[in-house]
Amino acid sequence: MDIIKISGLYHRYPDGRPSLEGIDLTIARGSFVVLAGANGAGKSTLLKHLNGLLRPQEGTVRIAGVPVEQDLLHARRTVGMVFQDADSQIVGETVSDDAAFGPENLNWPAARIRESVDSALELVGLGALRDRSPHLLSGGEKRRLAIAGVLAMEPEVIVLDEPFANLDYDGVRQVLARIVALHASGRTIIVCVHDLEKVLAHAQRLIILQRGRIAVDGPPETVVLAAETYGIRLPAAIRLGGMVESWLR
Amino acid sequence: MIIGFHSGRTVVHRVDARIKLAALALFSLVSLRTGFPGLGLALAAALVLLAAARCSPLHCLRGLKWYLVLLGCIVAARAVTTPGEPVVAHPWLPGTRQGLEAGLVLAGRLLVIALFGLLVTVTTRPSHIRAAVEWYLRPIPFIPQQQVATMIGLLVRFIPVILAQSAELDDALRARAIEQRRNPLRRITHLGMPLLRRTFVTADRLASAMEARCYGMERTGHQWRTGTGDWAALGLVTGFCALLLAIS
Ligand SMILES: Nc1ncnc2c1ncn2[C@@H]1O[C@H](COP(=O)(O)OP(=O)(O)O)[C@@H](O)[C@H]1O
Ligand SMILES: [Mg+2]
Repeated sequence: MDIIKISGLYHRYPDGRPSLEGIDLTIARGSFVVLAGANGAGKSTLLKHLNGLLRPQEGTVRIAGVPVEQDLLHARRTVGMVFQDADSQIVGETVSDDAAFGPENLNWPAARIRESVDSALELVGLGALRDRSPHLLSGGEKRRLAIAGVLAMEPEVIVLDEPFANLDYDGVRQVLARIVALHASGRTIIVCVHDLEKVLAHAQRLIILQRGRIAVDGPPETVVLAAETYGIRLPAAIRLGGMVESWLR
Repeated sequence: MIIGFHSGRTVVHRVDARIKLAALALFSLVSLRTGFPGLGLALAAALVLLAAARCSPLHCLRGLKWYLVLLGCIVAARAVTTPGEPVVAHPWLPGTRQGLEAGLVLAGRLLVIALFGLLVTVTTRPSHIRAAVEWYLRPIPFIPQQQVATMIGLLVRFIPVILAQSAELDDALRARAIEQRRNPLRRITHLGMPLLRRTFVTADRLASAMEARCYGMERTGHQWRTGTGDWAALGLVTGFCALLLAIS
């Protein structure tokens, strides 16, 4: 049932300041979770523990029941991670080469790679641009390519760090639409943001992080009311007493 | 900029990347020993092949325009510095016939090599070039050919990113009146230090992103499919090179 189970997680960077202080968190299979927090709250640090880019200094992180440090490959295949800066995570010289990078690392046979790359590029709507050079793509297309690169590895959980940073309205809608479609196809989605406006309407659960601790956790419509206490802007619609509308409408 | 891979299904596109790389190396070596007739023939062959690959030769020459300017300078420098009989008897035009000839041959060789190089890059997927380099490195001991190939790929991928970053930084510096500084060293350090820092940050993020996508030792290799067409191409190239050597 729970695909991710974190208990008593502590982390500090080498400069000594604690960045995560006792995180306990479980995430159900197939849920859509929004992780919010001000800059420096520890969101990215927490995400990097989900696929073993950082190992727990204290506490445990279990992915589908297996501790991350016990089987890194399992963690990385189960949890696909889309980083904040699309430019520095695209490694291929063409769009389809980039999508093939992960599956090639998994040493899959060529036919299976071709199949998963094709379906990943179709899913994010980049099928027609497969031979383009990535640096010629628009911001929204780059972000979608970063998502395709992760999708091609067929992960169960997709984690996105600030997926809407630096995108224009159209870019936000393109990326959001793909995220919502991935959730509808049964994947677990964790989106990390510092501004709730764009995703709140789709979230099933909202977790607010503050200075390395989970401050509030629960259904979005109640948790969001406390947002401003933790340095997150309250969406305007809620301030006016309404509901946040989806950006896809 | 047009210089980069253009997908297509022409004969030139279909030839095995390893054969294209070998042909390029062979041509480069042979063209060092050819004179005018051979160069003319090679130039014609390059232009015909570019046209056959659906890549307009005129378009390619325009893409090489700064390279052509450089070749012009080489010709001029050779013409002026080589002793011999003057082309025109005028004190302001000091070129010699021998110099002009030597310069033209040199420029012709460089042009032919560049055009064939362009032909290979325009018609071959970067991943295939990478795989071909990997294949050629395989017999050499102590070289981790897969890592070298990935590094080449990353270099190709990140040169435009680094160039864009440096252009952006340069604009930002100029917006804050860096041009008022007389000392060029100051300008270089002001551009260089942040650029280096950004490059390191990018490299750091890149390393995490590659790790997150399971980058490791055992990767799926390229699948080579060599048909009779590829052997025919190899034969044609060898024959052509022999012809070039024969007529020079
Ligand atoms: N590589 C690092 N070295 C030292 N401190 C870091 C590093 N990365 C992040 N931090 C610090 O850890 C804290 C949490 O950072 P981060 O997880 O990036 O926050 P968020 O993603 O929520 O903005 C911040 O105080 C930040 O300054
Ligand atoms: Mg962050």
